[in-house]
Amino acid sequence: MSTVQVEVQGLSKNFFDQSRGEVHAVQQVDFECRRGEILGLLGANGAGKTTTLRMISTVLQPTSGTARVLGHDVASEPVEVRRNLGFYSASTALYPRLTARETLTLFARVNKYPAERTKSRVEEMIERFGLSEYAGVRIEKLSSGMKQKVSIARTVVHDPPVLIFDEPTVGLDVLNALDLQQAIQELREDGKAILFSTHIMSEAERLCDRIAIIDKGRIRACDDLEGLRAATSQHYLEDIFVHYVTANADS
Amino acid sequence: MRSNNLATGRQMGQFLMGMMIPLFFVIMIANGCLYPAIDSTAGERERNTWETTSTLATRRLNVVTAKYLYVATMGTVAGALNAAAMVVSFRSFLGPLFARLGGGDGGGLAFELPLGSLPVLFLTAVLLGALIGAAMMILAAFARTFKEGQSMVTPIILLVVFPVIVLNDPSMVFTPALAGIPVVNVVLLLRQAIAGNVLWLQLGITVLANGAAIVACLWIASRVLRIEEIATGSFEGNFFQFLRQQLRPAGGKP
Repeated sequence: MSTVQVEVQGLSKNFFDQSRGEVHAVQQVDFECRRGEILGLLGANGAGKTTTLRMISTVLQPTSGTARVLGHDVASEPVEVRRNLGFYSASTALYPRLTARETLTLFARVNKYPAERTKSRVEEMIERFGLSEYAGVRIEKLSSGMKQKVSIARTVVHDPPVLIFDEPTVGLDVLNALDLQQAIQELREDGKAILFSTHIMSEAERLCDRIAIIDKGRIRACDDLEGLRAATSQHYLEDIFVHYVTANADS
Repeated sequence: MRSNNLATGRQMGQFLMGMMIPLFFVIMIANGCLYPAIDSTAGERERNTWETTSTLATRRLNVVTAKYLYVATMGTVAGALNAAAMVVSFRSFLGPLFARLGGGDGGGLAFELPLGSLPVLFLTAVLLGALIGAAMMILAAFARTFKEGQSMVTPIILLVVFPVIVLNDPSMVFTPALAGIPVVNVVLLLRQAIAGNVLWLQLGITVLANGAAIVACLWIASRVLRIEEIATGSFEGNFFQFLRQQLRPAGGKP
């Protein structure tokens, strides 16, 4: 439980927007995520959650600061970082012309899962996520719920120790969202370090071991729910969140 | 005064093929590159698979190389297959149709491709596919949707077809100087090869000139795709706007 898998220090990202000028999307963010832990990034839309997770997953380059995944730096060792993590977000769609089985095989192979075990691992994933009936069907023919399951399976097929889920339940119905939450909990039990971003309080409360509240690109607080309650004298996560965000607005 | 056709039926057939095949060859290679170039750049953004590909455990350069090889191969294959189909059509359909239009030797028109022209045909298909594919990927890299990609890349087809149409003058001589102009050199080389006449000096210059153009395009493409705003699709504009932005003096408004 105590092994640090993801370490983020002073991570910042600035970019230029034609209408807004220089935007400081993420500023001096620090946190760490340990083995067997779900760390929630809780923030409103535009708070900087996705940008932070994109930097950790090497999709974006940090402007300053460092992020390390299993000791590998995202800027200098991006391939090692990508090999050790699975990244899932609403903008990581699947290749529509591949079948579910082909998708899992492709991701296992490209992400360097041992070739001799790829076939059995793919079948294990198909079994685990209930994809047997659709394994030979092209992704474009699947329902959104089934696509979601294939997406999670492709995120974990190469057995990465670190997983990133960026607002994974957006656009899902209640049953599919609960299924997904269940799958994430099982992955934590498997010992994965999981970064989970959301703006849904109940989801964060149900899933996360620790919650980092992010607002305007900065981490305002990071603790477990009891710690946040003690620090704010509030019971509900909504109230805790509002406490930190309004405190920031006032300051 | 009386006109007298001195060309044999075979020479007339090769002359007609030399006029038609290079033109359609270039068009088909450009068309063959067009959709893969858009599909592998703007298409990925539109399908939301760009970020998925970005998180694969491989170097970005490998991803760009794979996409480029896909585009260039599709263009080459499209050109080669279409050229083969045209030769078959000439022989099977136009041959019998124009059999009565005899040459100066009294024989009918014969559409025969010299065996020696086949390696040249393949070489030119590879050179053109590689060059047009690289050029199209530079422009398509800026597109965020398939439609945007089409409007950004289509001018390249016009750009490569225009000289072919202009140069479709049978009296034009394939000089070493003309062999230094990419696309034009390939067309003239192919026309010569169809006529059974491979000019080795011009062939060497053609390979060098196109090779240099391909390397230049790939260098630009790799530079462009390394820029985060372009790779993620957040840059609003096309290649030329990007170029203007890059050439603006430092300190000017971005």
